[in-house]
Amino acid sequence: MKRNLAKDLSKYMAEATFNKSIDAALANAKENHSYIKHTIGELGPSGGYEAPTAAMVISAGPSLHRNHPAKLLQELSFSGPLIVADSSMGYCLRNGVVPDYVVTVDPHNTRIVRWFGDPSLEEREADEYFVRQEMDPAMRRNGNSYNRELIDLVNEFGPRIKAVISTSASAAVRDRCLESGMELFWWNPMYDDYEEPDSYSRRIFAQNQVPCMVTGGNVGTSAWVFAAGVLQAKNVALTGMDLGYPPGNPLVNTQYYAELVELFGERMEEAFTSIYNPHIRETWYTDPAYYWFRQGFLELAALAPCTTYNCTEGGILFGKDITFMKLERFLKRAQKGLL
Amino acid sequence: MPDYLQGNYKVPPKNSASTPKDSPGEPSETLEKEFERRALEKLGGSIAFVVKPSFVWTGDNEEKSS
Repeated sequence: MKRNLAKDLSKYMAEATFNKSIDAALANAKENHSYIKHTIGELGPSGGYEAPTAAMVISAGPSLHRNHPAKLLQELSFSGPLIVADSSMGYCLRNGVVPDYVVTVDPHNTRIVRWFGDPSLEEREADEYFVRQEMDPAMRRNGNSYNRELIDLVNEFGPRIKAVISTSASAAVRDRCLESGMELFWWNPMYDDYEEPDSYSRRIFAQNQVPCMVTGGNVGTSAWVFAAGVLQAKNVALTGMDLGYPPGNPLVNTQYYAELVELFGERMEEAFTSIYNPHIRETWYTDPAYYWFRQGFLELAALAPCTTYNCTEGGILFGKDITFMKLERFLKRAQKGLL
Repeated sequence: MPDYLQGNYKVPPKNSASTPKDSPGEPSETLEKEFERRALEKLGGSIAFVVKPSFVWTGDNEEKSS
């Protein structure tokens, strides 16, 4: 029987992700230590604030630019907190939507600061990662011009945005947040089971006394965990959370294309999984990492203290603990107090 | 996984002349495992992740969990 590469790879993703990120994450945590003044423990009910009825999380999947949710958010004003993944902040600010919180977690030392506007971009080596698979058409068209615009936007609106920043974040991201006037609220990724005596999570908490939060492996899921677990919103809507690629999207324009070609050559197509979404009647496809994110999200959704609405209107994130709903319907129900 | 991965050199077979004499056990298997591990890291997500029912942990003395 022919082995299924996609299924085989999914078993490795947890370990691969841990190995890939842990050294940089812990090194960054050490460097960030002296900058920690506030933590996520001061936000939400733990910080004396009321839990909101509804919160919205904006992630940066392909549907963000296909469905343009910012337009609806402006037309049907949403009174709950708006939490964005770092990678979707540029889209929001360019379209007149100022988030309350921006979440960041990836420890990559040079890539992530791009989402905040990178003051050193023109000195860096060209990174084909963004040109090849960046879903934001503005970023793809002219990297430098987009970057300058983004620096200005983040500087203008930074003082209104709270950065929910992981101790794993790079110095470049930390410094951009500070420079733009954001207030920083720190958290540690929950790297592993803190109930184990030699746990990394336990060790880092002992060092910096910063709360550890489940990540879901990516910034979009971290943002949802923040909304559900820290702000304790009773209802959390997601948009831009595809965890996959639309039909017709070329394989070359996927996040891990270069790595998959390097590893598997001609067989790289076998690493992708197709999933039919009955809510939108489309078949999307996903790569090993995003398939793993999906599995993780579905496990977390079953445990979540909130009702989760996926208002992405695309992608592969659906299941029994997720209510798939059009964004307009969610916003109208929120306005009328029907949630 | 070795069935799929394409490397750029062949790991010498066991007991060949190129196998280091002072390495006990099965060095070629160890090298393959190491190659596999490093190769697969490239496909990993942004940050490690574990599923815990309490989304936030604030130490052992914290009674309230989220």
